[in-house]
Amino acid sequence: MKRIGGHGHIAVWIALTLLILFGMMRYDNFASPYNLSSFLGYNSMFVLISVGMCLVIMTGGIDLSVGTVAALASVVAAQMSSHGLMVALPAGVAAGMAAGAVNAAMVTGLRLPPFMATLATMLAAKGAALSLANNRTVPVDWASDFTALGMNKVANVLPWTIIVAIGVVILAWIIVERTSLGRTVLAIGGNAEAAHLMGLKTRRAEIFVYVFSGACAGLAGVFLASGYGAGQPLEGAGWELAAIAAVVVGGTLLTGGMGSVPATVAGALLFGLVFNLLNFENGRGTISLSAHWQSVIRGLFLLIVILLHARLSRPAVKN
Amino acid sequence: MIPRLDKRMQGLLLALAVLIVLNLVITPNFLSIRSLSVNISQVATIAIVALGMTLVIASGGIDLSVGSVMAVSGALAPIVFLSDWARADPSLGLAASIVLPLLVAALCGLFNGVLIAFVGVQPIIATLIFFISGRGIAQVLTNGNLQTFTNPSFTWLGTGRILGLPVQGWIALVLTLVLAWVVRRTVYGRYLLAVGGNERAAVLSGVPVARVKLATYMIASTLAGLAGLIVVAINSASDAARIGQLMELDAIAAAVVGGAALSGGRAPVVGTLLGAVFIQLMGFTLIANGISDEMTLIVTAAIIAVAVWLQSGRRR
Repeated sequence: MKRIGGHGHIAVWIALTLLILFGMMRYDNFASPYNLSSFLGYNSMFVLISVGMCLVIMTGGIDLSVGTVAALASVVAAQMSSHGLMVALPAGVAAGMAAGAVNAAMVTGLRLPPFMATLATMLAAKGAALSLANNRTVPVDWASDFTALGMNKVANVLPWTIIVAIGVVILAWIIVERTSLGRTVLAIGGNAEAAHLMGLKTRRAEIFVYVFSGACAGLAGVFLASGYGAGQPLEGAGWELAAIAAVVVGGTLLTGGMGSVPATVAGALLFGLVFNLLNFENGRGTISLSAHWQSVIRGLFLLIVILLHARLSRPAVKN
Repeated sequence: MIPRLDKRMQGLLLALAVLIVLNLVITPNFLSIRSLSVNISQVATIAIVALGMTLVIASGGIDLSVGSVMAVSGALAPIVFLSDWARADPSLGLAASIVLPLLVAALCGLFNGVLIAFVGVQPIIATLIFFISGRGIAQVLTNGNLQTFTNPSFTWLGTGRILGLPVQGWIALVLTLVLAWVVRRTVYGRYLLAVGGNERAAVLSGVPVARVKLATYMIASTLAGLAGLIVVAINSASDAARIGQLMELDAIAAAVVGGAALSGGRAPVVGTLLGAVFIQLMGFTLIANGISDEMTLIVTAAIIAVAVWLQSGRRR
């Protein structure tokens, strides 16, 4: 059932590989340890929220709250940072899970449409982040080991954040591919009514995806505070849409029922890579595209991917 | 099809009445022309965008691109009336600075509509494209610079008064009445509700579904374009990075509080206006009485959740 989107997934990997090869051949410092580590460090946050979003979208839902929930978690983690990483990290993740639980309660308990439920949480999380932080950025405690997560690198190349993010990706992948929970997630997206009638524990699976997405956003917030040295209540605007775009580029249909965790990761990296390549191209000095062009190109890129998907897996919408 | 006050509308009206009475008691100078004008000019742009959003939601879709469309039209208007030929012929320049941005906005809607109606892309994804690119296009148009200007005839759109109240409030009111009529009395209105209510049935019964959707997204974008012009006129300045930011969420919230259902098939145009007014007045009440912006956000979130819950509860 999942294999229907197969060629779409391969296309994402091919595109990613080609772009990387292009970058390596064209720009001297593209494959440098510095570029690699800053690229992976920054995008580890987007990989995380995209994977959480992917699971939610597989059930046919959506989570608009990930950006402001990450901001809230960054504030919580920064405030707890003096107690060390082992306290601040769980605290940030717990804040994200709490927000996810609120989403889950509204979606599964009150049966609100996910779009509106998570929209409400998005606003509330922003309000909570701002009032916790007193409308300011919250500096972390540099004396503790909190910033090690976001700033230290394995062998000076791989940031710890990407390693943790990869761990979460693998966990999500195993859950989707190998567990009954994952099969239920996909079944809900395929046909919620039928899944329920078949005796699948649909409510449990729906609660799981929202709490998981909240946890991913919370962890991304911890990365943010740890990597940039401050809890940032106003960060995260538009992250939800970047994550949705990554999921779509990865070939997961918004109607749910099918999807791929690894392809979503590739989608998130592709988006980051477009930015990265553009910066290098500007650095060569032959053309000069202002930062404003980046979003135009990003949108064009999304358009191309969507048109390709529409050709590859033409859904029978009409008739 | 006689306009009747259904339960939803009654609830909303009651809530509004409570809020107004509360303000009369606790907020000083609530009825002054000044605070009335502040509220009206803040709510008008949201209401205008929300009207278009209501039609889109009624068709079973969603439009995330409205804020970016506002930025594009808001960036275009000063470019037009500050150009040499417009200065040479100010009245033609003024007309062009309103018509041209609205046309471009309609084209943005055409782009959304084609993707959705003919390519079969889901509305949230299709409009996400212009959400991402549109603001960038507006910034490229203006080089990312703040455009300031003095052009009294253009700024009348945002600062003028009719009977002592802001022009844009009257515009929002007239548009509401026109669209309410369109939804109830025109073929397009009937088709729109049919498409949103049951798209398959609409196709089978010969409704031109694709054309209806196309028209709906074009209307929504054009209204967003108008709202962009008003925002620029209010400020006598155009900042492409800021115009219409987060407008899509405000508009969706207003439409839903006003009684629109994301599943489609319902176009409570008047309710949307009331929904926008309600959210505005709620925020005003909280802030005027010393509640912080952050708490106001949280309260707004709760109101949205409760409003959606009340509607879904009554629908079953």
